Amino acid sequence: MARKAVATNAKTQSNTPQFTKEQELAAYQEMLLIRRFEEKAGQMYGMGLIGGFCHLYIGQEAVVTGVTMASKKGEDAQITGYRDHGHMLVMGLEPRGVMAELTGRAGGLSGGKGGSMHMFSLEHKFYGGNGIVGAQVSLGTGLAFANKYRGDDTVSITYFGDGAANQGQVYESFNMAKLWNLPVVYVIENNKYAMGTSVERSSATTDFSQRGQSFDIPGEQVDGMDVRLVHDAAERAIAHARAGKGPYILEMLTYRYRGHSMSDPAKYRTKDEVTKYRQERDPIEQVKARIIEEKHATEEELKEIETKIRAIVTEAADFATNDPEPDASELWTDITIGA
Amino acid sequence: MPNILMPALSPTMEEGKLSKWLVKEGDSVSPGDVLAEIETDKATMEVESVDSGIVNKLLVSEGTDNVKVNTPIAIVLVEGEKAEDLKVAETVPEPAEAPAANADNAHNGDDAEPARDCGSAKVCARQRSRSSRRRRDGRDDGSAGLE
Repeated sequence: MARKAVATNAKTQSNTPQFTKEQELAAYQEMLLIRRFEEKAGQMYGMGLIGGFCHLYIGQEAVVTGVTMASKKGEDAQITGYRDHGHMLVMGLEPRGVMAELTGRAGGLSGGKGGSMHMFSLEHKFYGGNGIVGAQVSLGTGLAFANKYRGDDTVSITYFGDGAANQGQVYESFNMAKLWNLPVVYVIENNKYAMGTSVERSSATTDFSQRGQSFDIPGEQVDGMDVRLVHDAAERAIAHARAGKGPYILEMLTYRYRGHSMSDPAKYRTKDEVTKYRQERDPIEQVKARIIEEKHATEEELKEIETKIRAIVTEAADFATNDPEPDASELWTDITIGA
Repeated sequence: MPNILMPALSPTMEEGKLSKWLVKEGDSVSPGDVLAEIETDKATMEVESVDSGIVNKLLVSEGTDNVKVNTPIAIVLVEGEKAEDLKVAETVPEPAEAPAANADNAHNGDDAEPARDCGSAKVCARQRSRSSRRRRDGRDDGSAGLE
């Protein structure tokens, strides 16, 4: 409850945590890479290069970026649902491998057999990429159980959306997580719409940060469009979990600019609402404005960063377009654990 | 030079109506700007710009029905590009008969993959889009319980 008060204060901007120059620039680059990558993925979907499902993260970039900056990258586990490209990029998975997986090519991170929702990297401690709504909450809680069992001082960061927050297994997980004080941080990415259903229409209570109350799990609501606030809250939550005090809930108030998936025209919300977020709250523009204002970099230098990022994305797209599809014999591999 | 292509807005879409242009020739655009509205058999969707540049030419006029997926609908010139590039853009080779495959494309990949000697990335994309559409026949995004 006390945590709630802190979050409210932060919103008044009186106590806004500041970023160093290095942090601002790092956040800018990470978020811009996600944005440009996702725009490219959207374009490639339109060209018929990406089949099946494709859920873009555009608008929500500050969430995964701020949380990951506050975590021990490569040690703390992360797991999420199907809107997962941004998580993979920030965790250091190769952009070309991600893009080639989207196009179903042999050089994709799952050999071209998983697609948008199914990529994993043990090396980076990224556990997917899960297509079943809410399933990652149980899995992420299990990862935290493993962390505690091994005593390796790592935390499991488990992302899910406002839609998944109404799934039954979420509360079974909350119960066990608190019962055993597992080191897990639940990050609820509340982008206001569960597919096409607004939070108000789908949820009996809409303050998701308080959903752990009956399990005695603390939670706070965070402005998920400001990477500094995300980072600050995530540091607190991760420290809590790492110290053995058990789970912690962060509700990130965020927004996706595109439809739920590629074929969603998103008519369930007004154009004004989207425009307002884009123009006034955009996570990347916020950082960019501060970088210029604080003279951390010039417009020219930012342009160089942008050019560099575009080159990475173009290279990924070229690779994903020209790499061959997996050989037919691959149909029989990766089904059971072989020798 | 980024050609804006008629996008497939669902896995089963083969053609659509260009119902409205939201930019005109000479406008500058940034990533995320809405360029046009496309009407499919299911819904009206927006096409966003991926690049920043100047709208050089609108190739398909507003209200045109049955525009095939992957047809160039506009040309956006990014910084440093000139209108001369346009000529190349307007003549899009037919996929199957394109004989003059680029040297660097003709032998791309291994011999194990003989089916991919399409002339350019764009043509490749179109061929692929056709074959993948056949594969996915009947499936539609957003309808599965998975999501």
